[in-house]
Amino acid sequence: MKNLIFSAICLFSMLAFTSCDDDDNLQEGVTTSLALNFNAKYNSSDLNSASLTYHNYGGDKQIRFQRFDFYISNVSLYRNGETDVTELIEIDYVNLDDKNVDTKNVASVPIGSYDGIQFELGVVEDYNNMSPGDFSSGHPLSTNYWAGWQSYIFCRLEGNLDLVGMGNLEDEVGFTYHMGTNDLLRTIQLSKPITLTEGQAGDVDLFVDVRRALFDNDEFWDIESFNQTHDPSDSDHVLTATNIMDNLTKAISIE
Amino acid sequence: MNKFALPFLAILILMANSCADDDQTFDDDAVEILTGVDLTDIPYDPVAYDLNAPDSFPEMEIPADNPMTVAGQDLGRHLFYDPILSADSTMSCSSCHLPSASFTDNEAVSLGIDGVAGTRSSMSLLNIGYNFNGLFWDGRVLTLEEQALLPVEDAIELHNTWPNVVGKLQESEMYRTKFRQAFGIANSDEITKELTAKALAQFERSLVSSGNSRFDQVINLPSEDFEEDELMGYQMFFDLNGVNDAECFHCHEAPFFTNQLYINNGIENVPDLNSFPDIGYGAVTGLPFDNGRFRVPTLRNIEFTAPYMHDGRFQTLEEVIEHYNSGGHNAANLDTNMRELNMTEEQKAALLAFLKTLSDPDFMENPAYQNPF
Repeated sequence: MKNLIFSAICLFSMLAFTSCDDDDNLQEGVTTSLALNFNAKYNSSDLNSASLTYHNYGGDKQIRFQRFDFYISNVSLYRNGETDVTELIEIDYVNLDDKNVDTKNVASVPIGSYDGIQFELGVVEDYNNMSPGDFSSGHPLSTNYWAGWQSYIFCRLEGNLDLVGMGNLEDEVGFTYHMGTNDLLRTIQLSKPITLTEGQAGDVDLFVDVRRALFDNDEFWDIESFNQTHDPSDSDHVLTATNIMDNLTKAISIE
Repeated sequence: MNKFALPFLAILILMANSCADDDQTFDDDAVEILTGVDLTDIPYDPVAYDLNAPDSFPEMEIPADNPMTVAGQDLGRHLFYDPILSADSTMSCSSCHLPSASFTDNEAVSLGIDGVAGTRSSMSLLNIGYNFNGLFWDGRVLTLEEQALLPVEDAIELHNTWPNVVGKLQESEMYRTKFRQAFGIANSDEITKELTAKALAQFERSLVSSGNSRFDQVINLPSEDFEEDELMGYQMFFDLNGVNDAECFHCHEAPFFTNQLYINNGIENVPDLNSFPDIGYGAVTGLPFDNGRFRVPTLRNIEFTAPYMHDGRFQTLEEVIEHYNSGGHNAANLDTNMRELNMTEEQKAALLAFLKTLSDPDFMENPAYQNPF
């Protein structure tokens, strides 16, 4: 008997709620997940950092990489001429040191059509004026801080240039390019229609061509002469760091 | 259908079923029968543990399933110093991690209960709770809870079994009380290796710098300054002001003086990546390029943790500085920050003076970290 009463209440409730349906509210708040895949390339080849993969560096020279990583800030999708912005990631660290793809997963992105993606390459000023003690251990900004520059290291690019192309370690010059400070924050905006649909995880591939970061004005960067960017008081170091960051903005693409 | 309909319907259906059969009985076989000692008469009133970490440190991330409590840290401290963990009750965690040596043992490699030598040097546990990129020299485990399980059953180290250890802990009135106070267990049967590891992890997380090293005082207190040689060493360490760069901070970045990465710092002279006598990180990742790479250790209290490197090959800091001054042995994966530094004797002495500003005797003498027995 009790079950009969409860069943009747259930049926009545179903009818009552159904009569209040409003199909127009269905799309509101509908989200899906989105994977941002950062791919490390050297021209059209995989970068293969932290390996003995050599790439051509002009003439007989060849280059290999040991570290490549960078911060991304204020990652967002945009539409309607950038007036409508959907924020994805406030700050994160892309680590391509020993892999060719680093994927950042965003859990709940509103479905719809977007015109492109944009982000800052580096750490925005408000955060860059902070230091590791302001964050929890494990947070992207709890590490990679350069006290001498009073800045986070926005990007690291390290490796070895083989001057004669024979694969002998004694012919190599190591390079360590560390870029940072507020002056080197760069904005990346990539235009491409991106459609996110209900029930289907989104997937966006971004490509970073490291060769492009080291090649400008029809020539490769002179690593042998300028192989470090450590000293903010050294104009060569500053010039190198600035050039590489400027070239990196042209080296990032979307497909 | 309205978005509230389904949940409401589900609630109603559950209500109907809950009243459906008043004659339902419980299956006694499904209830775990505990035969140990009832502990419910012992109060369980957890109090959060205050790490009292320096303000310049990041906030330590504590796992949600192992919050730090005063009782938990105390239990962990007892376990850490208790040889009950070893098969013959002669050694404890503290046998290789002594507070007087900043929780190392000042040996090149450690000896286990059978007198068998390990292959690597005991690592300092100072600030180990801030680690986020793997533990041990080769990064083979990620959490302190995982790490604490291994030495007990390691044939070279404590050479015991967890059932043996747990049995002894369950029989101990002291540990029954402390486990109850730490974790609120109702019966001694609930003492497990997992809870034991959690307690050890809580103690290890409590091992935090006092903030009273000279380096911390100079950085954080306007009234404090480096001595002249310390200042030169500081500038060299952090590549400041055009002084001869020693490149140290690239791996030993503040505030923990480790970037927690795995690098080859050129101590081994090998013809190729497959010839390292200890492949270190490469054994964990399976990548040949990681062979010969080891975790960057902290330099805090480095003055007290000789000998140095993963196998303790350098007896003094002077030897370490000479090694880095040389640029190390070349290898395909030699860290690119390694290069000949051409330091003068004055500069080497200055670097050594700076390293000694990282000494924190207050940490090593903290009563909360000492042997309670």
